[in-house]
Amino acid sequence: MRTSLISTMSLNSAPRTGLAEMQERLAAATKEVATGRHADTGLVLADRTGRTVSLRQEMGSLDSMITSNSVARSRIEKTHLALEDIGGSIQSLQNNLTGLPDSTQEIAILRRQANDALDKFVSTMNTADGRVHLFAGTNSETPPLAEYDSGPKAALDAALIAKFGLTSPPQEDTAGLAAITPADMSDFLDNEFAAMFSDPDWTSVWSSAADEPLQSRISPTETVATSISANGTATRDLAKALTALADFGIDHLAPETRAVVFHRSLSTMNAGLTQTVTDRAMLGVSQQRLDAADTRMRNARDIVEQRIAAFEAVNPVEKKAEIDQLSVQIEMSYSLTAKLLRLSIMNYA
Amino acid sequence: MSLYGLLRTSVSGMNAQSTKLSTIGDNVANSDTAGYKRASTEFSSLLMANSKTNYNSGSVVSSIRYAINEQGALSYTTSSTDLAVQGDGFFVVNDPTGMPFLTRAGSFTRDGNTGNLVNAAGFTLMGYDISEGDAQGTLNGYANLVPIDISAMNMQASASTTGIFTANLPSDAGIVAAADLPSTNAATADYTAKSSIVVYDDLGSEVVLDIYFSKSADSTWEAAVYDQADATPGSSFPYSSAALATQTMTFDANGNLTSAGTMTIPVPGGQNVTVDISKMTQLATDYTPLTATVDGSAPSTVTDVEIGENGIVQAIYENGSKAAAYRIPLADVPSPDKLQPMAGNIFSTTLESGDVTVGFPTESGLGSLVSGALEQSNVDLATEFTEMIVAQRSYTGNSKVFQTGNELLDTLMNLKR
Amino acid sequence: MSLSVALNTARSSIQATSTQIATSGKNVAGADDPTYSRKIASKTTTADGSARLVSIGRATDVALYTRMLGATSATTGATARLEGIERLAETVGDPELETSPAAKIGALSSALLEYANTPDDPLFGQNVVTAASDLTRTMNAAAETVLTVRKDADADIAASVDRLNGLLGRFEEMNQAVVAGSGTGRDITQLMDQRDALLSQISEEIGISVVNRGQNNDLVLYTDSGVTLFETRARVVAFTPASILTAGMTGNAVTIDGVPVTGSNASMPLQSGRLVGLTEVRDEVAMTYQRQLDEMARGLVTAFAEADQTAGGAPDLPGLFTFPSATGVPGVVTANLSVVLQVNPAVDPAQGGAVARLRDGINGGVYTYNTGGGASFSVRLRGLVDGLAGNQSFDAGTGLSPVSSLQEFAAGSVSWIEALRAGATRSADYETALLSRASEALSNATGVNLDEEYAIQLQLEQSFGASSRLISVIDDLFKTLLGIVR
Repeated sequence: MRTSLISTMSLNSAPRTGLAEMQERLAAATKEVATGRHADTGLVLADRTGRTVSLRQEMGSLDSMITSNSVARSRIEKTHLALEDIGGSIQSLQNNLTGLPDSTQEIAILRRQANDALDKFVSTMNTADGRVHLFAGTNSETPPLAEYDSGPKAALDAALIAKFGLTSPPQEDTAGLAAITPADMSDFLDNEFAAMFSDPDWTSVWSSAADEPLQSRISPTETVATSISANGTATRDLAKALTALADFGIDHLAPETRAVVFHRSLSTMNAGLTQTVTDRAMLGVSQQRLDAADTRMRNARDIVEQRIAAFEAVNPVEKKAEIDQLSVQIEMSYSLTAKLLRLSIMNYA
Repeated sequence: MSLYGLLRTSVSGMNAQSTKLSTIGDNVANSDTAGYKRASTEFSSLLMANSKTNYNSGSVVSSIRYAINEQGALSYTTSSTDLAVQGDGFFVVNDPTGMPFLTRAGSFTRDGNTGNLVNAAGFTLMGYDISEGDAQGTLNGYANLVPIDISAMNMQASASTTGIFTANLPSDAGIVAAADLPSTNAATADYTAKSSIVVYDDLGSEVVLDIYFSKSADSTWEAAVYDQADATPGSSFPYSSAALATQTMTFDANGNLTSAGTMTIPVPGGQNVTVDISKMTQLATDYTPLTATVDGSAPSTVTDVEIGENGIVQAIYENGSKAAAYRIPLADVPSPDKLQPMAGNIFSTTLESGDVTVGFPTESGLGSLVSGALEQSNVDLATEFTEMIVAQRSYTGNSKVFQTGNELLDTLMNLKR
Repeated sequence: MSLSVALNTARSSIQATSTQIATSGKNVAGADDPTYSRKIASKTTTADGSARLVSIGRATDVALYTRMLGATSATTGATARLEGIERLAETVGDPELETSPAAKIGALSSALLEYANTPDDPLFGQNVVTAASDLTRTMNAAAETVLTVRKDADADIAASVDRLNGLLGRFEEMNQAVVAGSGTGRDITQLMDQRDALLSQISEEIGISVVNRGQNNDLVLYTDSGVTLFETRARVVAFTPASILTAGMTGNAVTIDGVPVTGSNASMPLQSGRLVGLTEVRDEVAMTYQRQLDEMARGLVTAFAEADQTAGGAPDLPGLFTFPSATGVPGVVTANLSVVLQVNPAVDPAQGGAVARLRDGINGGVYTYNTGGGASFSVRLRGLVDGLAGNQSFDAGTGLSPVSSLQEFAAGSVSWIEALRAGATRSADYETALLSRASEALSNATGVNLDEEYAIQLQLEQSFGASSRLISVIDDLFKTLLGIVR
């Protein structure tokens, strides 16, 4: 008797007991279809939630690396252009020089050419990408090379005067210049003049750049140099050659002495240009690594995105089916409730 | 001569019928009176000496009989002090002067002034006081009977003396170091399990006993009992006075108690409580108290009385405890129908009825008491009415005889003009 | 005489039937009350053949009721635990919203990387400081949430204990009434229903075992750990809420009848009920989470600490992340660190600092990294990026991997709390389902079926009608009889 009894309360509430839960599930499923993600990710993933949090951070850090790589890339490209520019202007000077001009006119033109090339060289070396001076190394705030007229020239003048006993300004002491022997000039070039382009004179007179080039973290594991410091040998050699041609007063030198200057300048210039090419090749390698890293990181980003989706995403088709099923169940539950409530012995008694 | 005789006879007949009608009247009037016993009139003829040729009418003599022995139907009420006797026997009641009578009318209620149980007619129910032990009655008299006074049962307290405590002690519990056993009453005391139980001292005050069980070695436990009132607030230990009782319990391999099965706890201000702990076990499960009962009760007022079918009156106290206070006896006589009914549905013994014997309900052939019921009158209206019609016819017949006799006398008188 | 007897019998039958109908009426009225149990009026035949109502009983099922009580305790315990854990898990949020400390650490790491690649640009430096402030705010807020959860749990325990004492007091009254009522044989079914309702309320707070002392339906209550909760009198349940609950500080224990029943020092620890759930939240889950946050804070201070660059042996000093009156970098778990963690004012422009100091060395002096003063000095910043990703040692009491990177540790904390939440949700769902099954079974065993009551009433109606008819027949008979008497 007792076992077969069902209380009116549990009979009437039976279809309703699951209703709240079903409605809750319906709401969750609807949300899941709309967002494509689990309604309560933490609850579903439980101890794997930390993994998706980590993956999202990984994606964030990949994104920021890709972004900052574009900055590094533009810096490399601009450095390339600048070096190319310098190479171009010096190339033409070199061509003129190779012909070993000896007429007064030709020499005056060459000197002026060298003067212009020096100015252009300094200004190109002082190129800035935004706030960063490309060739300043880590000391990127300051232009790396001093303007020739506002520093190096005075040092050169003083050195010429001291070595050869010239009057000031030394370039206009025609007699004194003409009296310089090739041997003296060679000696000057090897010692006093060379010292001006070596440390410590170079960094006090010419350059305020830092030796360390700019470094960029291009991938989680790679750091590459993305600039050339003005303290490199290329800059020094080119500056050396251009200064000699521009400001030794070559018009007034004895032809033999001038030949020494020309020869030495030509070889220095060649060395400088070669080094420039090496520097550009180095940057090229950096750029290649950067591109490779970018590609790799974009791939990694896709994979990370897929993994996040694997963790968090839901199958909308499956969810839609679940919603349909739930709707049917809920409707059935409603109609059952209504039916059961109508079911009473009193309607028959 | 015989004419006059005729008149006398018919008058006696009418008298007899009117007596009968009187009993019927009484019966009908009391047909709803609890404990009323039907009266009936029986006739016997009184004949004159007659010769072969002459008949002298005699007269009829009526005698009254009572159907006292006849059980009335029980009607149920909601008062527990309404009593009925199912079977033989009478309640013993006293009238206000202290005279004992018998009755079947059990509509007793508590009298406000005296606290006694008094029935509708004002008679006090008598019984034996058994609060101090068994009833000291006599078989053939009313000795030692006292009024059943419900108010006298008030405020009763009893000190605890016995109890049962059964629990399982967890066999896998950790062993408590000897220096930390509760019996040491050290501040660092540790224990495996604790229970507390309410007992009552002599004045009925509640004393809460803290019972500590501590495993002191494998299969060996120590039980220590303290008065909770002595506990240090917050930490319990140390108590301000030593343990009331300490006992070592040992268990066999099956977890059954092998040491003494009782524990005696002197309750402060009360009696020694002997607690039966023989059913304690030590098994590999949690500490589980199974039984914890101690007798005794706090002082409390009587909320109700319960009267059993054997006549024992139990006072029911506020706290649900019961105490037997009185026992209601039943009295019987050899010939109940010969008892003399008196006003108030009481009966007194007569020579014919024989002397009373007093016994207890359900014993020695006496009936049982039914609480919450009244014995209705055993009058049956239908019978009474039919009797009445018969009596009426009979009376009319007698009056016709008288009328005829009278007319005959008239005729006789008219002979002489 | 037989007519009168017949009348009497009919009358008693009517009386009994009326009471039965009244009982059935009560049943109908109580059909929708979950605490109501079906009342049964049993009738017997007396010696003279009339019917008499002997007693009113009620449908009970001790086994089902005990199961229901146990399920109630388990459910409230699991629910209280779930509620606490859910509030803690809110500090983590949906992974997509990136509101967790772990996500903020990731954001800081990204900002730091960008700054390392563009160290000359103070805008990127500002981004780092903003991300760091965001992180400290998140950590502070999470730590505050943990403290609040613990404080609330403590207050809830106090409220639960108050409720328990109140319920026990009422249970005492009700038990006395039942005991007294059983003694006098009154109808105590309604009282017992009420007492049972109190029992189920008590079982919400605490797991109980109920022992019937057999006489007068006197009940004795024990906790599920065996501590006497009620025996003739209610025992005192005592608890002192903590006025302040700082990190690492365990709350007070609840004592019942002088026995501590919660906390690590409980000699007879409770096993279920709201009190258990709340205590677990207060003393275990929240405390572990607090420890994790403190370790995260310590990890941050350590990862950004600045070392003596001159090899002069000066102690490390906090860098980007610091705390009030810091004199060094703490080497072990430090309570409350997550509450007071802050961004070093020296790098926060909003507090008069300069972001570039992050690149150059915040503490100055021997702690200067950028000795050359270059604006694009990135060594220190790259070092910080690596330091943030590098392995650190964490306290083993956090329940997480003791050696891992800060990022992994923070992610591990997310996993830990979400795993707890998932587990707690599952067990709460499970216990709730069990409770609903137990309640349904109990309702079926002791509840009212209206149809059945209606059928009973029809039956009673017939019985009543038959008795009434009998009375009217007897009345007719008497009328006939009286008609004869003229």
